Amino acid sequence: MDIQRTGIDEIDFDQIFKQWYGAIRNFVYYKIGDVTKAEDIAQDTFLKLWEKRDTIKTETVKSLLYTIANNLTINVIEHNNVTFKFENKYKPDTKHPSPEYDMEMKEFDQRLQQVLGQLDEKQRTVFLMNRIDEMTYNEIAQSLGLTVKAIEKRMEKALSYLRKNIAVKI
Amino acid sequence: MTPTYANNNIDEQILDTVSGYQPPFETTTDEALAILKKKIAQGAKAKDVKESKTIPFKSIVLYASGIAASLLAIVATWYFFSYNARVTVLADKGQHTECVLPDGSVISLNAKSAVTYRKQTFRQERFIEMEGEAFFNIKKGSVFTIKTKHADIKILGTSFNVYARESMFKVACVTGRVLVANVEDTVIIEPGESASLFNRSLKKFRDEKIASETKWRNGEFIYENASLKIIFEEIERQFNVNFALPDDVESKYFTGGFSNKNLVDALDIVCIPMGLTYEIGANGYISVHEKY
Repeated sequence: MDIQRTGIDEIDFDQIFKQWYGAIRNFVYYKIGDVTKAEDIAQDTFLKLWEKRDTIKTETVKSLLYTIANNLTINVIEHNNVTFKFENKYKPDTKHPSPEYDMEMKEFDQRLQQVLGQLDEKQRTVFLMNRIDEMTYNEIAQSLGLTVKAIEKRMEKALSYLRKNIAVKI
Repeated sequence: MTPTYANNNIDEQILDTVSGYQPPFETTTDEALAILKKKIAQGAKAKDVKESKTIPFKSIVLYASGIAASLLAIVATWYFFSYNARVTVLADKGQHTECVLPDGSVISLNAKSAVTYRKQTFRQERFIEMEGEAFFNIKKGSVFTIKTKHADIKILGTSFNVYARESMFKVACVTGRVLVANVEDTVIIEPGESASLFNRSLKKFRDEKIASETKWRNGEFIYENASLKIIFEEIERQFNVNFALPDDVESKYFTGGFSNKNLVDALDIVCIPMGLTYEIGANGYISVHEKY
């Protein structure tokens, strides 16, 4: 018979930290677009986890982390119209690279980051978790306590907003 | 996982570009874990959602200490929680700092040293915990207690130096009277006297070195027949470097002094007369060898 274990020790904690810290930090960044605050809130999230370590079940730790991070983010007022400074590792493969093309790509990149900042926070967070952290809809749904259907909807809305607004010149 | 509705060029371009995005964080996960461990060790408490609006100061201080601990001259972290806040003042490797306690007493902290006290109850009970090395100038008043790993120190109003590190424990009295006690012994020392541990028992002795040994506050480190190990450990703390040392370093003794202004000068002063050579590698790693 499998006995469910309650509480985690320091080794478990370190492992959980290494596994989830990056994702939690990114999650907060997607919500508020502030590197400093995101790092700070991610630290506080794990500090809280540490304090609760005796009552934690390993199976639910992921959604617990997202819940804590979400609660800690509530007080940060600026959620919409934030400024992102993503580093862009994407290099489009093209057979005819030219300075004009590079320029266009750069403009596109800047415009995209700007529109992402204007996107509804909930849609944006889900969208970026899927694209950047490569989480499946299922994983996102579990982490945020939502249905897969809700995630699909947010993805669709996000993409359609980005598509409509990216064309508008500044 | 690419959504199936991505069937035109602009959608694909959006999705591909976003997939190449990286949030611009500067700390690695391992560094972040180290920062968190430090906070836990210092007794940090997670802020409550309700409280966080009233204490914005905390987040600024925590972040600053996190990313730039080595750049800051002082990392003084104040943790406000519930009614009785614990305050930790920390001087990191390569740093000195000074703190004024609520009663006006002044503590100078040497590199890699820390003191902790409770802000609210400090005035009723003058009690602090410390590790590392610190010089105290205590305001006259009720008993002032310092808890260290090796012994407790009780004072009425005096100035004195405490060295409480892994390898050595010593309290040197400059003015007033100091009571030093551990589980077994209690000694009272007066100006010009020091108390130290000898085979786990506390003994007091006349100490001619107090004046020179308390010069660390001006960045001068003066030794008389001191183990090379203790000296290299001090250089590690003052310059935030790490040594690879020969095995017999503990049994060699050095008389002289160095200043914490210049690493190469400090190394030369110690190594040349001792017949040692050194090599400064990357990341502050220094290997010391016997000269052949």
